[in-house]
Amino acid sequence: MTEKTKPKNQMSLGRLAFITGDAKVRVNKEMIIGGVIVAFFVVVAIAVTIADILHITITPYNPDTPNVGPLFGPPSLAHPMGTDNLGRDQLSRILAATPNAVVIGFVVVGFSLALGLIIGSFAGFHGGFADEALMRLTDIFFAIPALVLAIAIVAALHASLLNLMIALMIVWWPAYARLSRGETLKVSHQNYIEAARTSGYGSARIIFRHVLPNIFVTLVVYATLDIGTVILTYSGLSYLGLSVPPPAPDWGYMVASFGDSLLSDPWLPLFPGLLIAISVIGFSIFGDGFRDAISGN
Amino acid sequence: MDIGRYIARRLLLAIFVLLGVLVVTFILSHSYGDPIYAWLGKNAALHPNLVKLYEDKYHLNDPVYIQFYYYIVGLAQGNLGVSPSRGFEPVSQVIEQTLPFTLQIAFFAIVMTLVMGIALGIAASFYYKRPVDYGVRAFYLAGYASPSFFVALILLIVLVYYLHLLPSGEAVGVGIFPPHVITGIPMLDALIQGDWTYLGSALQHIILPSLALALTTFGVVTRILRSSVLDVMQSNYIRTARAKGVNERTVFLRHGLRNAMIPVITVSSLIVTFILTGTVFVEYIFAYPGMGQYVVQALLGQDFPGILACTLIYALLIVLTNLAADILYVVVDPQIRLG
Repeated sequence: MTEKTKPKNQMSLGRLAFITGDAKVRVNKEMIIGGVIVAFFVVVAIAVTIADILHITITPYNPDTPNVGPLFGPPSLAHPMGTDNLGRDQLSRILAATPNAVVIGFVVVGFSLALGLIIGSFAGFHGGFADEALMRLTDIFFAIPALVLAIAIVAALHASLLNLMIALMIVWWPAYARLSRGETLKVSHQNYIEAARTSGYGSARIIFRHVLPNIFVTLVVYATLDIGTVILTYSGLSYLGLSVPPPAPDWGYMVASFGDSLLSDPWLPLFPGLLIAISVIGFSIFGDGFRDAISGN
Repeated sequence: MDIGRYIARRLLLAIFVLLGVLVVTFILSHSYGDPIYAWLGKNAALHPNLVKLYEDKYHLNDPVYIQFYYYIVGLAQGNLGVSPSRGFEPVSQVIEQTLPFTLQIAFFAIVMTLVMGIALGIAASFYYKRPVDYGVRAFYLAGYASPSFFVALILLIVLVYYLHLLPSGEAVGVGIFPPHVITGIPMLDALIQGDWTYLGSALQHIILPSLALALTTFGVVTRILRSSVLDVMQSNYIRTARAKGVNERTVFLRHGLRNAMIPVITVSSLIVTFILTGTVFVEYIFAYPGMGQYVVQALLGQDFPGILACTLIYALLIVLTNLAADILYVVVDPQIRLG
């Protein structure tokens, strides 16, 4: 098949892969600003994780070593974000906690995207009982605030990063299933799907080869915007002490444990809180820009 | 389908959703572990027969479906079990004490969210692509991206500790007695009975927690209203109204804004979910005696009856809001067909 006769509606996946190559998808200012912030957190997360595996410290100080500076030391050249109640370097602790947020954001959204795509497109394509059952199930999940349900799950499983991730995954995928179903319904009346049906292809082949590639982009755009929301919810659970057990650092928990020091040593709760906000802003701006770029505005 | 039948059908569906919420939460929270040691503390190790007694009394050793049966039977009689984190006080009693305060915060937070969201949304669309628009956008992005516990902490330090503008902690000042119970919601009761001392103090105490929630939520309204005003003001009927010589103010208020507000109804369930989730944190931070604080307490004490009951009530509130939004939607927009 030559380039000219390539069916237009199968461009979606290609578009995503060659974002800068397609004239319709111009990288905009928001994607760059958001992308820089996101890239910063991702790079830090990868670097910290690799260093952790190799047992080397790449943060300015070892995040868990006490008395590397004064107790409750204000921000200084040696400790740009100050030191905490045990004299640990706060910048190092914040950097060391970055992988938690990044991994949870990507894993929870990635899992929800994959499961939601499969279940949603199947239900949307086949209709009938499976579809009805799925919709009622998502109704149930939509009626419970994600954070509250996650609290119930983590409380039962006991606090750890893995359990927190599992809780968020259980709570998160229904939104993706519902969105995939809606998008599947939109494309399943298109001519190329009818053509595939008439050609006698099985439904698995039609779903994987024709439906999924066409709804994928919409779902990915939603997912990009959603990573920030996952990080927000995770930081809330972390604030309540449902994430990694201390002394390991975690943003939300750092805000919680130094909430009382707000008057005397404001840098202790302020910096981790700011970092949460900046990471969420990064993903939101990038997602907004990405959506505008895809829809051609 | 007429509107009465539509509402009846939606109510029936809502009951099924709530039953589903109950099943899902029950299974997830009972799937692992034995909470008896968290409930009894060090007494558990000292008195093995006490453990046995409690396990038998609360059916902890039965399979999940048997426990579920007991729960449903209790629920049908209005019995939500007892709350270990509150000294085995009946859960229904704790909810009765705490829910009114959460409803108060949620109400004020929703009002503030709508006022801020609508005002800034209109401002941004009026000054489209000018500094005000960019400013509003930065403001709501920062608000949305900040966790509510963080915003609450900043408000606490600035408004309470530095500027001494507002009190913090508890629902009213020390030594102020609550009004007689009529509706069960203290501020409403005070309003009905003209108890201005209580109402004044309660208002001062509720501003901060609700403001913290509004600051993190108003962006949802602003964002959707801004783009919807921009859309609507370009439509044909606005052009027609202008061509008829209707003044710009009337064009905007009567024709533009009224139609632009419809999408705001769509995000109402999102707003309510955001605010209810947020109450958990702001009640905790401002020591406001609502259900959010109870959830945190129940969580720390592995108090599953408490967590379960609170989840159910949050779900009930969200389902009811969705129902109200859907009905409102049909009422304000005659183009929508019921189905």
